[in-house]
Order: sequence, then structure tokens, then C-alpha cells
Amino acid sequence: MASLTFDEFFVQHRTRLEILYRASGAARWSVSLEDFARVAWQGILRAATAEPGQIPRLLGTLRIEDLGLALGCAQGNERAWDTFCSEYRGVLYEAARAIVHEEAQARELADSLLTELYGVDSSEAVRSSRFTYFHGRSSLKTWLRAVLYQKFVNEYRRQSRLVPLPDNPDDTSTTPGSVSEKDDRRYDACLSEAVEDCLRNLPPAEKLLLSYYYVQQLTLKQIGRLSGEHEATVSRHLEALRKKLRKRIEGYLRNVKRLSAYEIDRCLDFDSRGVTVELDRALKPE
Amino acid sequence: MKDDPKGLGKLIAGKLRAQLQAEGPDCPDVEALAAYVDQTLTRGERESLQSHLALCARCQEQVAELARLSEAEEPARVLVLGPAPGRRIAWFRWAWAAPALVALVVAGLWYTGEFRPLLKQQEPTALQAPPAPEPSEAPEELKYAQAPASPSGRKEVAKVQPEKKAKQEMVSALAPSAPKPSLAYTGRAGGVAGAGITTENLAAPAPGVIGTPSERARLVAPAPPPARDEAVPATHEDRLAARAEVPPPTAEAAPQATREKAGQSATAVVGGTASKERETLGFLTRGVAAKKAIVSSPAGHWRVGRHGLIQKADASGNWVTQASGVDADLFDITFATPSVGWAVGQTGTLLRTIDGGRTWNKAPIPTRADLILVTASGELTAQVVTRNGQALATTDGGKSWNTSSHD
Repeated sequence: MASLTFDEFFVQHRTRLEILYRASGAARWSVSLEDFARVAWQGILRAATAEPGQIPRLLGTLRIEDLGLALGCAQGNERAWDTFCSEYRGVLYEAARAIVHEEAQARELADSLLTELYGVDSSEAVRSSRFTYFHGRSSLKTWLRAVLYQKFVNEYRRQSRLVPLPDNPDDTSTTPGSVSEKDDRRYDACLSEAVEDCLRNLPPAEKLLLSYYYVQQLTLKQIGRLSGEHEATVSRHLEALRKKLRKRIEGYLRNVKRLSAYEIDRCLDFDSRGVTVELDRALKPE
Repeated sequence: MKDDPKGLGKLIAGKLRAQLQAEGPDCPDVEALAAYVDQTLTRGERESLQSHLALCARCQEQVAELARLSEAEEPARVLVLGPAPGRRIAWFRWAWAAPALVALVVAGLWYTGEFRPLLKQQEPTALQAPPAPEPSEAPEELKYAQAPASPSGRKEVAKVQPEKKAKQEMVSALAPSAPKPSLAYTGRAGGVAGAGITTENLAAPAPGVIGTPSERARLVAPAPPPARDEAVPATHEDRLAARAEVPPPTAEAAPQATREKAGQSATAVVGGTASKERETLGFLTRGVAAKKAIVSSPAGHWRVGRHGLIQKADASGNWVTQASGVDADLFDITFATPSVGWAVGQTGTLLRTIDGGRTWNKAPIPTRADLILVTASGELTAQVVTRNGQALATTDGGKSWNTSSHD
């Protein structure tokens, strides 16, 4: 479907844009209706191209007051900048402290971002504010946090949360000490293969839920914040997903690996196995 | 999780990590991730992004961090007694005035003590010491003071308050008693309080008179950002609370900048009333952020809230509830003229008044969606916006409504 041009968008939705423009208060930052509309159009362009009928709804989801303020700052309006600083400087400092956990570094990170937001380009003497990347699809607060975190990751090369498991050079030993240890290794390998296969075939939403919980180690409340659900609902979803996963794992062990019911129980019974489960081999990336 | 062996959990975590790519080829921009966290993406966008997040370690980690930051930010909705980090400069600028403020307060107390018998002879009624400023009278000033930790905390508070406010307190101390907070605004004949206390001392500087028919931007056009010597609330919630707690200015100016965020409730106390009324004045709307705590119009200062709440400020600065006849939450109100006004709210609730807000009648409108914004340019013309972005307009006083073109 042909993408909507700005002129077409402006003409077709002018009334709504005028209402949003007035409600946003962008005029107090000397932002024109056309500038406001253009940024709004940029914000919804991708979604609107896919679903043109959703344009009114998309416009309704814009954070128009935040957008007006960001536009004013991007255009160099000093009053807008003063207002932004009074409202969001504390937010940036708090977020930076939460990310970096070190006061001096946090302040440096936040101040550096503030400089980019203000827009300093000494090479061409042209103001280029990072606010130009904000189009009102999210709240300004969340956007600032996201930009701050991205800046931190890019500039400070923070140690990844993906802590690699230690290598075990002795892992290549092929002669187990006893029959039970040999069985445990076989069970580990089968289970590892089953888990990997079942996770690979999960729908993205379910895989993401498990990732939030097991990889990112988010709390139920934090997961609920992302999914828009109460933490109790998240807990139920996780419980149901765990049961579904276990069922699939059992099915894989039974049908693919041809294990007996006893062997399947042994596979899944971690506590009863006396030998330390050598997960490092099972968890090595392929 | 129940019955979740730690070994199995670790195995799942390891396998998921192994299937993650360090960075995907089509990583969305930062705003898309932020919109995902804020739940403002369309369904299609959200599903597409979830598919990406399930496989991209970098974006997944960023989203997880935003979730942690959002949770850490959730504060209790209470007034913050203390300057925000951004306000240190303003506080520090006034530090030089501390000795002067102390001297003024001491002089005021001395004056009161010296002439108290003489005052008693002039006023037959017993005079009481002026009440301490209550939050409803001057919440903004409280925001900028350190929390008093001792019985002399009030004096300490005075040290850090702007000079203007300290002067006001001194005048209060000198004046005959004003048992009702509202009297602080009207003053008493012959009383010093009436001369000294004005809403200007309590409200931020406001724009000029707005006498033309309502256009929302001008009506609710905020005051210029407060001068450096006037504090700005520490958080957005504080400012909402402060604005709602302060009785509307009886001057001709509109209240301060309306920068209410969508999705947040305005906690308010009306003249020091109970917290229950605080809740009834909250706003629960999201999306188009056209919600203002106080609306200035040719018909005076108005505000709306939950359960059909409509209130108007009287000459004394008190909020007076008007009967709306509905129980739905109301989101916006406007007046085109001193007599004709509109109020909108949940599930297609549309109210109209033609007698300056004394009575409100429900008006029909061909939608059951939440109406979150209303503007009016004349007695018969008005426009409303629904939560899903639809705009409807009338030119015959609400008898018929047209959707905007190309809907």
C-alpha cells in the first residue's frame, strides 16, 4: 500500500491535528501547527502505512503534551528547555543512578545526555537536538530512560548480564566413574536436547515471557508492567506455561528419545540425582 | 514458581540465552521500545516487536531495564517536603535571605507581643493566634521547605521559604485571627491580613485576562515558567496536588502551566477536606492528554472529576460542587460563553449547561466511547474527541453531530 504523504495526512486529518495541537499547548513553546503535525506524522508513519484506518486511533495515543515540550526544546525555545529541566532533570539523575550505581558516573552520564538533548554541534554551528528522535509514541519519561540506558550500554560497555558459565576442561571425560553417573549424563543430555527443542518451538510471546523470568530475572510485577497485566495474572501464565513446557518435554523424551516412564522421571527429578548435574555441557551454545 | 526445580530453571535459562542473538538485524528504535513499555503500540506493532524481543538479547535487555526503572520510580503520592535536585539552585539563591527572614519573624512576634493588650482593647472578640498555614492554603510553599524535625521546625521552614512567603506569614502573625482559611483570601475589613494576603502570594504568576470565547490552548495557557525565585514542585504529582489544593485564583488570570500527564490521577485536597474527596478529584484518562485540573473560562474557574463531579470556584476561592446528574467520570469541561458550557466523560457522557453551570443536562451524542476532550467556540458550536481519536463536531448546540472528514 502506498505510503501516506505528509500533505495528504495534514489535509485529511487537519481538524483532529488542530485539536491535538491546542490540547498539547505546543503554541506556548512557539511550535507551529505544521511542525507539530509533521512530527506526529513521522511518529505514526510506519504503523499508519500498515494500517491506514488506524490513523485516528494512532493520533489519539500520542503523548501530545510531551511531544509539544520536546518539539519546543528541539527548536531551541528557552522556556521549553527550562520547563523540561525542572521536570525531567531529576528523572534523568534517578535513572542514571539506578543504571550505574555510582554517583559520579551517573551524574556524568545524565549530564552528557542533557547536553545531547539541548543540542550542541560545534562543528557546523547548527543545533541538532536529540529531541528530534522523539515523536510522542511513548511518554517522554520512558523515552528518556531508554535513551539513557542505550547511551550507557554504548559508551560504558557495561558488563553483560549474560554471565557465561565457567568452562570445565574436564568435561570432555568420557568414562564415568559408575553406572549411575553414566545414566545421569545420558539423562542430562536427553533433557537438554528436549528443553532446547521445546523452547525453539514456542510462540514468541511465550518464549519472551520465559526470557523475562529466567534470563532477565524480572519480578512478576516488572513482567506485568511490560505485558500490561497484574502480577497475579503473570504468575498464572507462567505456571501454565511451565506445565505446558514440562508436558512437551516429557512427550519429547517419550517419543523421540524413547525413554521409559521411569527414565523420564529420573530425567526430571533433579533433586534425587546424587551426581552434580553438569549443565555447562548442556548449556553450551551450539 | 511452584514445583519448579532450580535445575530445570537454570537449564531453561541457559537454553534461552543460547537461542538469543546478541543483536538483531532489524532492531527497533528507542522510541518503539519505550512505546512498548508504555503500552501504546498497536496490536500489530506489539506482536512484531515481541517476536523480535524473543530473539534479540540487546533489545530484550533494554526493555527489561526499562521495566526495572519504571518499578523503581513508583513513588507514594505524597507531597515532597524538600527541593527537587533541579531546585537546589533556587534554594541556594535564597540562602542569603535566611538571616533577614529570621529577623523579620522575630520582629513580628515581638510586635505582636508588645501591642497585644492594645489590640485586645480595640477588638471585643477574643483574638486567636493565626493558624499555621495549612496545606490547602499554601502547598507550594511547603514543598520547598525542609521537613521540620523539631518544634522549632516552623522557624527553620521560614528560613528557606521565599521572602515573599515569609512576609506573608509575618502579616498573618500580625493580623487579627482568621479562623477560616477562606478568610485569608477575602481579608477582614480593617485587618492587616486582608491587605497582605492575596492569591498572588499563593499562586504562580499567571497570564493575562482571557475574555474571548474559549479556545483550549489560550484558556488553559499556562503562566510563564515560574521565576527562579519561585519554586517548582519536585514531581509532576506534587504539582498536580499543589494546583488542585490551592483554591483557584480570584484574579483574572489562568492558573499555572497545565502539564498534566495522561494516565495519572490528580490528587487534590479541597480546602483541607478528607482524602476521600482527594480521590474523587482524580483523572484516569490516557491517550490525548487534554485533562486540566482547573479550567478557566468566561464562566469562571471550573474543574471536573470522578463520579460526575463538577465544581466551580466561588468568589472566596472555595470549590462549590454543582449537580451534574450523572455518575460517570468526567474528563473535561469548557465554556464558550459565560452561560453556555460543556462537560464530557466516560462512555459518551456529554453534558451541556445554558445557565452558567447551575444546571447541567445530558445531551445525546452518537458514540459510547469515552469523551476525553471538548472545545467550544460559540454557543452552538463545539467539538469533542474520543479516547480512540475520533473527533465529532456540532454546530447546532448538540442536536446533531458530525464526525470530522475522512474518518
